[in-house]
Amino acid sequence: MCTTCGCGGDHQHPPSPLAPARKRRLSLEVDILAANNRVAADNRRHFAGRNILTLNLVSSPGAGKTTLLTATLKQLNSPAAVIEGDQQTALDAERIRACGVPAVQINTGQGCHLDAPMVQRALAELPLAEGSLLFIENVGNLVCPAPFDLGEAAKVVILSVTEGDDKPLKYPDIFAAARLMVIGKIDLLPYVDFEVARCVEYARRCNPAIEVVRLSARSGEGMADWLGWIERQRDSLRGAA
Amino acid sequence: MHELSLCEELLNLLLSEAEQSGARRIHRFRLRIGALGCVMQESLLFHFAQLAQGTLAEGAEIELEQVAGRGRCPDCGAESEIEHRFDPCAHCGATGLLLIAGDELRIVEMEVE
Repeated sequence: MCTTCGCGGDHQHPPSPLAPARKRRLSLEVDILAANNRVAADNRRHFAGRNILTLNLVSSPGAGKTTLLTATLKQLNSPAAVIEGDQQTALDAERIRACGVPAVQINTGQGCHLDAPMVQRALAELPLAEGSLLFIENVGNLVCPAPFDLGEAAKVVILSVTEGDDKPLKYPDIFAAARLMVIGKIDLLPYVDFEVARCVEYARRCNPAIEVVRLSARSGEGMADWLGWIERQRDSLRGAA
Repeated sequence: MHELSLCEELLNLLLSEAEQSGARRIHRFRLRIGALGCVMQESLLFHFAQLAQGTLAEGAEIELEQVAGRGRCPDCGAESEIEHRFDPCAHCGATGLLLIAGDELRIVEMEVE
């Protein structure tokens, strides 16, 4: 017999909303960024299937990411595309398109970094040839982009000499997350108190494996080292495929 | 500032788990946060309380399980507790320790009804 209504049938009643509910413990053990990381993994598969090398460029605002990119795009001899992240305006995407390279601008509004779903949406609008290089220019910020995987092959942190050589110690997370540190605007070294060796030593305290390239997009010094580094990443991508 | 995005991710995860298990309310949950985990705890708690309003997680108690930073020395192989990513090895003074704990950002469990 049913003990709830005494009707004699063999059935179940849903729990009454007035009945005291039982507390239950659910074990989760998931990363807070699990949803972002799943989309990042999708993006990474998308790139791997098309032999695309993706670099996530991070820096403070004004470090020279877009200038480095435009100088790079003019010297590259392979197809490339750019995803531009800024809080507002399409100014950077316009600078990239002026180089004849497809670009999608993401405006994050109040957001301080890109995340993997934003990149996934941008990919839907971006024609990417097989074997392309994809540069993702993150929102200018040395803090917030650090924990967000976008599906890139590597993060590249750009630090200009006008910012000070102690930045790796002040913002260690982003230097720990990056594979390469580009020390930029080295044509300005005579005018600022920036010690390259000290900066490299600080960066390696946070990330012993970090590679370093010094360059000036304006004078062209060091650009060959940067292009060579990109080429080596492409080689290792091809090797892994 | 990215704590707001982390909170959105956290709340989405909690709510989807709670809904899947047919829960009516989230009472409490436990986070494991590394001391070097790219997150400011006060800011996370503040944003969570705001975001959770009007959801199953409103008023939920947050337990924080803190994990200290630990690094392994590339030279002598010893492990040291570290306060910053760039701290030297407590045994031999070498720098460039490999982080082995302290960057956790996980939901461990939750209590629902």
